[in-house]
Amino acid sequence: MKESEFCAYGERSLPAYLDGSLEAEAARTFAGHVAGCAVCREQVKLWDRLAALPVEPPSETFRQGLPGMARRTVARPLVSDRVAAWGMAAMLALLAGTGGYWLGAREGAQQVALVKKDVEHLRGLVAVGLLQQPSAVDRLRGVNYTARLSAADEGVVEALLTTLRTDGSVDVRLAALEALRQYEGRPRVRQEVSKALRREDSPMVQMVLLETLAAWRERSAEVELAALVADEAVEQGVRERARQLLAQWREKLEGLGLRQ
Amino acid sequence: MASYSTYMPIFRDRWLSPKSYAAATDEELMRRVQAGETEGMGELFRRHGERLYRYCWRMNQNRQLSEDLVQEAFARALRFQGTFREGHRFEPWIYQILRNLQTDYWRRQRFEGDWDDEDMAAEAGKGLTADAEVAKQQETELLYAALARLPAEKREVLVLARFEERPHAEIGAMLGCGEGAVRVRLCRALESLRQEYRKLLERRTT
Repeated sequence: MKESEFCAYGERSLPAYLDGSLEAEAARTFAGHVAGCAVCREQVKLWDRLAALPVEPPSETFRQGLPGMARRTVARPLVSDRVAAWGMAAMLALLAGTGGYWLGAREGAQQVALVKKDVEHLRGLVAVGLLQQPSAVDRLRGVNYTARLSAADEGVVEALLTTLRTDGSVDVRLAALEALRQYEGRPRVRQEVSKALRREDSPMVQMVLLETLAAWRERSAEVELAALVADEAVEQGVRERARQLLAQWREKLEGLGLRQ
Repeated sequence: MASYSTYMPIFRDRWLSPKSYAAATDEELMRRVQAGETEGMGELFRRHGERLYRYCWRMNQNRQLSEDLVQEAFARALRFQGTFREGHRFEPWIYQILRNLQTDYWRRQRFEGDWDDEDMAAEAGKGLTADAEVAKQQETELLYAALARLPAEKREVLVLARFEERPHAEIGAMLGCGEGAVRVRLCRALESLRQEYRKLLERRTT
């Protein structure tokens, strides 16, 4: 803020003046000041103009409510044009194949649901295919692609777990872990994420694993955490976080009278 | 904590708002969601979805992104319904989820080098008032562009105070500061907006 354009009186009183919480007398005095102070006058003017700014309305799908929210991902699509084109072509072929029957069918809604399911399955296949590519970039795309699925089937979740267990790239393992976070309701996922802690050797992934387990309050991972704390080869910060988490959980259990 | 089977119907079933939901408060609805009636989240979305969307749109001026963020916020609310505490209000809670998502999104975009304030400022407000008078349209674009140039924290306090018309105390609770601090931030945000607006105005005239 330039010195010459700074108005101390304005800074003190303007917000209260604008939201109408200044007392009548103070408001009158300040209004008098606004008339003579260019900085405050412009600010008041802008404040008024802001109220009139239009907003682009949301789409119809959004307005219809949550049925439209087929878990669209917040991240921009990461699938390459080539893969997307391939996937799209396959989907179109599928849609064309079922289209004739679909159009003729009386129970349209059911058919739409079926086609959607097939498309979703196909997407799953694309994701799994990408996860098996030799290039880390492609595998990363595969992981991100899984986030676009409304309900990943067992195959996709298994592929993600395998990626978390075996992928040679830290970035891919991290992305797989992030994608798996949405499946916290599945016991197998929780169990495998706990186990991954034992195998993982990258401190960064270890930290994210710890935070994931903390968020899930996955207390069955105590054994893994204890092993990590005891392992001197593990990075100091990671061990410290594991120790903290373990202490927290134990304290909570003690608080509940569940542990002697 | 929600199990997978508890929150999955949201993506399968049609979301209806039974009449019994209309009379319930947000917090009662949340309690029902926690008891397994996940359809209650549909009513909460119906009540708050658009307002949250408008908040988001004013922050990022991107329809698709705003819709995605709001929808993701509700998906998270369902997934982490266990973190909603008795005696608290629903609205600040869902706002907080949305704000976190938004911050994460920006951080990620910046990290990936994909987000450019200049780009956003250049695109800001365009196409909004295609039928309005040219002068008014230009002013709208300019003002949105100035808004887009502000750092997110300043933009947010303006959006909450001006567009959302929230009391300063409430904004303070959302941002984790006192009412006095909100006033100071608001005043500084307004001053920054004034300066950005002037710069753009000068650039346009020259």
